[in-house]
Amino acid sequence: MNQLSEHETETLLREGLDRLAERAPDGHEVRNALVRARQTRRRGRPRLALAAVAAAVIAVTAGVPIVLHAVPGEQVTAAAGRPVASFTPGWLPDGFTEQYRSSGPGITPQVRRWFAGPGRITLSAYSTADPDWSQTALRIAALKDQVVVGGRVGMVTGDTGTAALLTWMADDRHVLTVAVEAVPGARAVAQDVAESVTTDDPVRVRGEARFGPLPGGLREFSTTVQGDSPGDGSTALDASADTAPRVAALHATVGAGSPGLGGTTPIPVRGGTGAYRAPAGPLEGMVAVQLPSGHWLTVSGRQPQDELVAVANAVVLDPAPEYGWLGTD
Amino acid sequence: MQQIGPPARPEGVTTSFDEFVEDRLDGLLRYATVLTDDPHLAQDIVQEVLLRAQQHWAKIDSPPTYVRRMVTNEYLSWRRRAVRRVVPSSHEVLDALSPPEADPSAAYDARDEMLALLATLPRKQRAAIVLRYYEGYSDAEIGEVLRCGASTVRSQISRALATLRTCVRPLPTVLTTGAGE
Repeated sequence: MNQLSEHETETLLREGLDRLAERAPDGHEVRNALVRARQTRRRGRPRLALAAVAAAVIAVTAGVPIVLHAVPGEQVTAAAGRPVASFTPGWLPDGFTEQYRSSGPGITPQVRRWFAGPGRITLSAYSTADPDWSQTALRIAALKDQVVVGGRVGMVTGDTGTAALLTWMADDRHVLTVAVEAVPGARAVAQDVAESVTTDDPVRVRGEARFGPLPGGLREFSTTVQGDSPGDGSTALDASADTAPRVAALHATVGAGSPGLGGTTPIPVRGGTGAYRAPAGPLEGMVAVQLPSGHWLTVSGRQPQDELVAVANAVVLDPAPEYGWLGTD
Repeated sequence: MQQIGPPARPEGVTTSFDEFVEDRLDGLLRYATVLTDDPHLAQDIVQEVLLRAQQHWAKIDSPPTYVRRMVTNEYLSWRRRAVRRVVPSSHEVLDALSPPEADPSAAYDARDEMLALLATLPRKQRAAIVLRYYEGYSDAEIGEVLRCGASTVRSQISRALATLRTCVRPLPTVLTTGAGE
């Protein structure tokens, strides 16, 4: 074996080390851990002084826009076929595990949900480009029951003691809500969760399937992954009209659960034998087929049979769905 | 000298912890990855060091030097007490940590061979090599981080280079693809 010259050795070393450096993780997890550590320490301190809250509320009700502190970190834009949920709470009550994530391109709401027994906490992010959420700032300013979240004024609605909905503008482009259900002290829990939300640790929503080509006038709207454990994961895809209103008009699900096959007729789907059920009353038409993995693919909508079959045939299966987070805190 | 993070603020100028993290975290993670040959371990170490530093930030005189030294020390001690955690570079490991997109730089060549060999060096030799050839440190600066004299640093680097020079094949003219193929 030839011996390298000193220059060659040093060149290889520098280039190899530079290559290795490219494998460095991004800083999201570290930043998130630092935020969590700080919040944990702060949690032991007195909460935000009431005077400051009152001052903020007065400023808003007087029509003065205030931005004391925006949510830190980068904004992650969801891309078609690779949706992300940009917002993550740094704190949740003990025992809650995440069992639901949904997101999609453009203005699709980003939703994450945690459960503990009957208790449920849902963090949702909506775009102010969505007409349904474009006036939220005005609604918040008009409400009496205001709170401050991360230096921005929010509102609490539906406070029943064990349920509460906290809504605030995380920045100028996002309306966030924390819905707490069946949890004692729901209002305080909602506020603690909301105050811990950052964009430091965006998560992907990667299920076991995504749409292929869709019928004309429809486009991907959302991808949802849910389950109480990795082995229980399932994926739901929704497509909607590409113009407002963006109401889901076509659905696909992939999971272990068998769809009801009563009233179906056998048809060829994805190179095998599937089942078709014609629409009847409120029931949409449905095409179902069992995949080689044993999971069932179901496509449903008001579209004609041949379109549903074409959608089912075009669904792209992902061999590496990200289900590992299901059932974790 | 290769900087850890952008030279936004000169050394010695007091920065808040948040400013330090903003300026230096990415560079620290790259340095730790090069040092440990394990992105997961690098993240653990940097996180551990910063969590500790955060708690007594006001008492730290020169944060860049302090944190870099802490990362290096943590690596040296971490490897001693947690050998089971050390995962040498392999295409499988690195692919698992990489984005799903194809990485054209993943082709296996003499640089990877160099890295594989580097992973077999005693930890202090590796640290000295990384500080010299990644960080661009002088012997004296390396000695300060590793808490040894400059002559010891020269000796460590000399022995490491001797090992690497005799074991790595000369640069190939054609790259070959690796295990992933």
